[in-house]
Parts: sequence; structure tokens; C-alpha cells
Amino acid sequence: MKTEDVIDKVIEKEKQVESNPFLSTRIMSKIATENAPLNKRVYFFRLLVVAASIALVMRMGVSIGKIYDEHRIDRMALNINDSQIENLIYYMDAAYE
Amino acid sequence: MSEQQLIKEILSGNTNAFKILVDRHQGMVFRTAMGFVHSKEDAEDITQEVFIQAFRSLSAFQEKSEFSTWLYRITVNTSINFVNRNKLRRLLIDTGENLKALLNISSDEKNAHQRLESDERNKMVRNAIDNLPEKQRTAFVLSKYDDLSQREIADIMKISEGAVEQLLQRAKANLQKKLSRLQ
Repeated sequence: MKTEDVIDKVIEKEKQVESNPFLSTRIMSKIATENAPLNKRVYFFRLLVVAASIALVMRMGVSIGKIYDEHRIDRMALNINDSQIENLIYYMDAAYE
Repeated sequence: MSEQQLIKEILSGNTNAFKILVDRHQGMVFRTAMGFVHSKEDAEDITQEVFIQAFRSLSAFQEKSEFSTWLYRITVNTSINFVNRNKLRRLLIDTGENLKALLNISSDEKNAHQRLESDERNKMVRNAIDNLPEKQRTAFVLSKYDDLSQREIADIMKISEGAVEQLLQRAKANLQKKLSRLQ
């Protein structure tokens, strides 16, 4: 068989392949989805949710920041006198005499 | 209803009129895409992409050329982009198919081998078409899969008829060279 005939045969076979009969419906539904105007209520609800989320995240940030500050300025901790914790004088015989 | 009227209808907001255009040109878009990807599923995806793109840019269509010519241009560009995007995926699918074909050799070995040979030959032809330079491949697909005249191909590719003739001759010579083993 000639090369050209082989090529034509393969092409003819591919040309006989039919597309899905519902392809045009699929295309139109895709276009309709893309083209549909976004419902106003849904749009405002989405905006509200996004704004609320941002506010919540900010509030959490401030709260966490405050907790951290409180622990950092712990006066009791800063004023601990190490020498009072283990007062070695108690272990010295001289002290009890 | 003429295509110009349909386009006016669509641009004035009647989306349903676009379905008539889809029904009229779907076959031609699908066939061209098949020439580039050789797979029904991929050709359907390309067809969908082409019509969505055409719908989006319909307002930019200036009616300097035929609607079908404009649609062919979109189809060719979309198909080439699709092929370039999916090179690796195509390679994996081909490897999988080869393995499947090899594993499917059953007791009826003679028939199986004949089928394997025929599949191999088809694959070689497809690979040879796919490996043509982009312009040669476009001209070849439009000529062979859509049976378009050189004049029509020249309009789509925005080149002269002489250039199309040259591209087709080179494409055929390249294919002959690549597929000389088949003789």
C-alpha cells in the first residue's frame, strides 16, 4: 500500500468519529453559567462574610497580642530574689547555734 | 436566519441564538480539533473552549472575513495551544496504550498481531502529522480533515495561495520521508 493511501485511510477513520450529541447543550450550559448575573443578595452576603472574617481575624490578633503583653510584664517574676529561694544559711550549722 | 443577523441577535442579549451558530459549526470545529489531537474527548474539550472563546469575543468580530473563517482561526490557535499544554499527558497516555495493547495479546495471536500492527501503523501516521512544523501541520489538517480549498486555507492562515501550496507540498514530502518504512 502506498504511504499516501495509508495516511488517507487513517484520516478517513478519524473523520468518521462523531462528537457527543449533547456537546452543543454542554457548551450552551457553560455559556449560560458564565453569563448569569450574580444575584445581588448573594453578592452582598459574600461581601459581608469577607468583611466579618477580616474583622474577626483583627480582633483575634489584638487579643493574642494583649495576652502576650500581660505575661511579659510579670512583676512577680521580675522581682524574684534568687538568694531567697535557696538561702544557704539554713544549711549551715552556725546558724542554728 | 443569516449569520450576520444571528450575531446581531446574540450581541443584543439573545444568548439562545448562539446555539444555532454552535449547531451549524460544531462539526467543522470538532473535525479540525481531531486533526490536531486525534482523540474524541480532547477534540470535544477544544470544541467547547473554541465556542466559549468565540462567544466572549463576538463583539470584536468585525465581519471583515466570514464567520467560519474567524472560527477556524480560533480553532487552530486553541488546538495548537492545547497540544503544547498537554504534551506530557499525551506521552503518558500513549505509553499506557502501548502497554495495554501488548498485554492484550490473547490466544488468537494472529489476529492480535495484525491488530497490533494496524494500531502501530495508525500511531506512526498520527505521530508523523504531529511532528510536522506548525504551519505545515495547520495547512495539512485544514486541507485533509476539512477538505478546504487552498484559497480558504490562505484566508484562514492569512497567507497567499502560493504559500499554502508550498506548505502542503512540504508537508506531504515530510510525511513521505517519515513514513517510508510503511511501504
